[in-house]
Amino acid sequence: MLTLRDLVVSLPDGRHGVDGVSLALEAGRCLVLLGESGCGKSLTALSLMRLLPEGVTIAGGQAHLGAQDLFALPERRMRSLRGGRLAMVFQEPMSSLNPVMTIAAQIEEARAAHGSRQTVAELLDDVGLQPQHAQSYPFQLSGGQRQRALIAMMLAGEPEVLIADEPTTALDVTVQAQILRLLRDLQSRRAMALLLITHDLGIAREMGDTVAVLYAGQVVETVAAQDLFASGGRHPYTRALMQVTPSLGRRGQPLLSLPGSVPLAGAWPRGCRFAPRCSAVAPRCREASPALEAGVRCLFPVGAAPASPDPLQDGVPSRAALGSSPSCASASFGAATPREAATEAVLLEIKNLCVHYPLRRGLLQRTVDWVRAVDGVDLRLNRGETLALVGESGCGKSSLARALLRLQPAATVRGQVRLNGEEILNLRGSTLQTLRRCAQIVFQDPFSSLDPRMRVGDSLEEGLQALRPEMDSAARRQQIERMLKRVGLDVSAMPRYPHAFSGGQRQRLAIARALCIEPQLLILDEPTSALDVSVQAQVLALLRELQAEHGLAYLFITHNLPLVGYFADRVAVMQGGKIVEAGAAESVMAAPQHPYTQALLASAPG
Amino acid sequence: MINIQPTVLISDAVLFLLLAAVGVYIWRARRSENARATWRGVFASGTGRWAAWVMAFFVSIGVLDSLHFRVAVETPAGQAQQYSGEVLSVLDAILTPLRTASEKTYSAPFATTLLVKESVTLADGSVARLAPAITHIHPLGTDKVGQDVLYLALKSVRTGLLIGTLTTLVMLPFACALGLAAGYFGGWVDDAIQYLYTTLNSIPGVLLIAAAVLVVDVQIDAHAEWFNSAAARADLRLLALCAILGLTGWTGLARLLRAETLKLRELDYIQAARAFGVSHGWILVRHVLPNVAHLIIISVVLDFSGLVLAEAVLSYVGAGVDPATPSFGNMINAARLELAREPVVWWPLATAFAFLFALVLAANLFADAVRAAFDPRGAR
Repeated sequence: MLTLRDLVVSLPDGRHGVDGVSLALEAGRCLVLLGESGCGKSLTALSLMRLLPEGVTIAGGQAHLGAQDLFALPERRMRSLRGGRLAMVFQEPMSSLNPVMTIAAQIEEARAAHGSRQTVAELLDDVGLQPQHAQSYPFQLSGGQRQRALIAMMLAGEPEVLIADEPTTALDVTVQAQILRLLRDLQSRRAMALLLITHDLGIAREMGDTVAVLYAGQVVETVAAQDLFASGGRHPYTRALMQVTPSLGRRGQPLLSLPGSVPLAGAWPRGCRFAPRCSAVAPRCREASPALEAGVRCLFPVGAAPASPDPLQDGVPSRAALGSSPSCASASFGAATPREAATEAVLLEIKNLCVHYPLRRGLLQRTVDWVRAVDGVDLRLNRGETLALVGESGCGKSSLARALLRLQPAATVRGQVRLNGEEILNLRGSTLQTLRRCAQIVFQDPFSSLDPRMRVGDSLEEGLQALRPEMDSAARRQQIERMLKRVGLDVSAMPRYPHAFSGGQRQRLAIARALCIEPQLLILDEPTSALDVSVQAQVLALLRELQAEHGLAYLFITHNLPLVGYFADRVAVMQGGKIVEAGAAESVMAAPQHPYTQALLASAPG
Repeated sequence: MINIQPTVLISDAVLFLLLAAVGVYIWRARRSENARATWRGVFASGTGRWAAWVMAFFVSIGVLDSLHFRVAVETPAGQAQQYSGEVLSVLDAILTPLRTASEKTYSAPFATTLLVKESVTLADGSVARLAPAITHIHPLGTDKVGQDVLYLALKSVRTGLLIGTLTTLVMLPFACALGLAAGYFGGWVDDAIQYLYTTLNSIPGVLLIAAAVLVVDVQIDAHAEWFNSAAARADLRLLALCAILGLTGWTGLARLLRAETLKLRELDYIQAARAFGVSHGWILVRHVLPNVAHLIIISVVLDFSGLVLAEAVLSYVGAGVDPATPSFGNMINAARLELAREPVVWWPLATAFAFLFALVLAANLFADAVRAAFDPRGAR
């Protein structure tokens, strides 16, 4: 139905962001475009819609929708095609909807443009929205409802092809599952072709009929989804992707460590583009660029035909399944030490912790009600242990973290928090500084956690200056150099600004900054959710090593359940400010007791 | 040898203090590798270098015009040396040919005759109406009282620079301190500061300034003994104007900074700094201020041109600089009548416009180059 051949997209500086991508979509089927950030996924989708940003141009290739040549159409005809036969759903529903128009008005606009046969009410019904939502404004709806409204708009044009660019990345897992179900439903009901762009293997497994794996602007492997997950793929990159994804099944094992990160658009290595990161690299790989043959772009593809059921299913890679691919270049870590036997000394004890924000109304700003962000939480964290705090957005997990670090206004926090047996909620002055030496935090977004106008060395030194006044500048410098080395960066990083580093490197910097002052407790607030999976594996390995070396306790805040199963010792599931279930990670993940935990686990894709 | 007495007006002192501060900064920056590299970035771009040269030209004119002295007058022997009441500057001394070459009234650029015809008694006793010949060639013409326009424009540079920089100097501490504090601390601090600037903003700006200037004027008139020369008096009036403009002009920038700080204070790196126990003051200075610096630079440079023009508006209502002080505002203000004349006298306005344009454009481009060089996202 929609075919794309040899698409080349050139960036403003003349380099190629997409370099010869060919795809074929069929009616009623879902093609998943899988890849890490910077691979050219979104550029491919935007090229199909001819919505590339200013300066980015289609430099070659053809796209046909039926008999229609998309790249040759005049803009006027293309406009009627967009939202008509060819529709696109974007990642962030809030910015895709006009905030000052009601949902009904926006759907009506799409209907008027394309002469839809369906009424607004029917369209809303199709995407599972209630009739009363028609008169709502986008800000009155939840993220999932907004995404539904956006899909309803797209359906108004009765599209033959729907392109969904990371449609659920901004949503919670339970909502994500609903939206994915809706997309699958609509696709089969309307016999649409669906091009789903994602970085998430689980979504690819759940949604895809065919999976095209993108790396550095090229399709490196096209494979039927079931074959992919049966065999683990034939291209080393595909295989690596499968092996760097943490899961309960991989618990206690090292994740494959894929060195480096995806090269920047256009700055691609000669020969095979994956060669610098490939562990099965042969000299010829650096010379010859492999072509896409039999669905795989590799000189030495793994295995022959995907046939036998594979132990990869349960997440344990075996030598047989790896075939000629190399053994894991695994990072060593202290997984072998029986952590159950570690000292049972309690480091952090939380009793009945509440964070209540006052809701103020009226002229005199009287408190009319309270928002109970954290509502009576009890937790215990031992030395050297990892406690995962799991929950969806708005469940209060970040408020809890901020309360523990005393970043929350004191008036909003009640309860007891003991660190090393000392009550910390009423600390002041120099004793508060002692707390800050013991507990530090690593944030989710590595791009906002470092001051963009401060050199890395100064950023790292800041904590030392404030909390380790006994150190002189030479000692501080020594400590910073030691920590930079420890997280895999070197001294040359110090005079540079954060923008010169990739997301993964920045997260290492943030970890180094927190570790410089040698805390006992590190709060990790979704430390890997902004990172690519291959980089996530590196950061997780680093965290493991550091924990083994320093006996650190981690409070690991996340919404990613497979990650919890892989990484945490114990887990506490949080909903609406309360802990609904807590226990050893393995048992909670394997046999959840609380309905909410069960729902969360059932929603996790893959 | 000419016997002179150096005279330091208050604004001269302020200007030289400012220059000294810049000098100290340059001395410190030269010793720091990072700062040197950054400033090299400013001058690396073609526009940055050109803008810097033009700015340097204007600033050196301003500095030369701030080195004041009085010339000795003939004093009977035995008495203490007396000095002229007229305060001159080094610039005046350099421009003596222009300064002293005055005509009776208007003349066009490079004209050989005055603009206005006069009844002249010719040698044969008949009376003819013709434009008298002028005594000197004036490249930019002369104004109503026959002063050379180029000389006036060059003298106006100091006034413009002073109003621009001194007002900014008065305004910046208020705008930064109050704007950052309101955004960062929130709560009652924010409320109090917001009430303050909303109140200030709700009074029409020109009226507030005019009222304040008139109060100052009354004080100046009541204390004639404070001043030993007309220049000192005009100078104080100029300083008062800068202070008043600064005290009333900080609200816009403060509001901008408050909004940006509100956004910044929630960012992770501020939270991280707080988790390190860094004090609020340090966070504001080290994390917030550098990250709003681009806003400050942009709005200060834009305000600079606005202030020079505000001076013209105030001259119109009679609350600007002293009418005797050469200033672009006074020149523009005079142009109201000149443009209504027949034939039109366009050159004072055109000169003021060209000088202002060059000054403001150079300041803008230079500020842009500085901003780009200090932006870590720039190429480096």
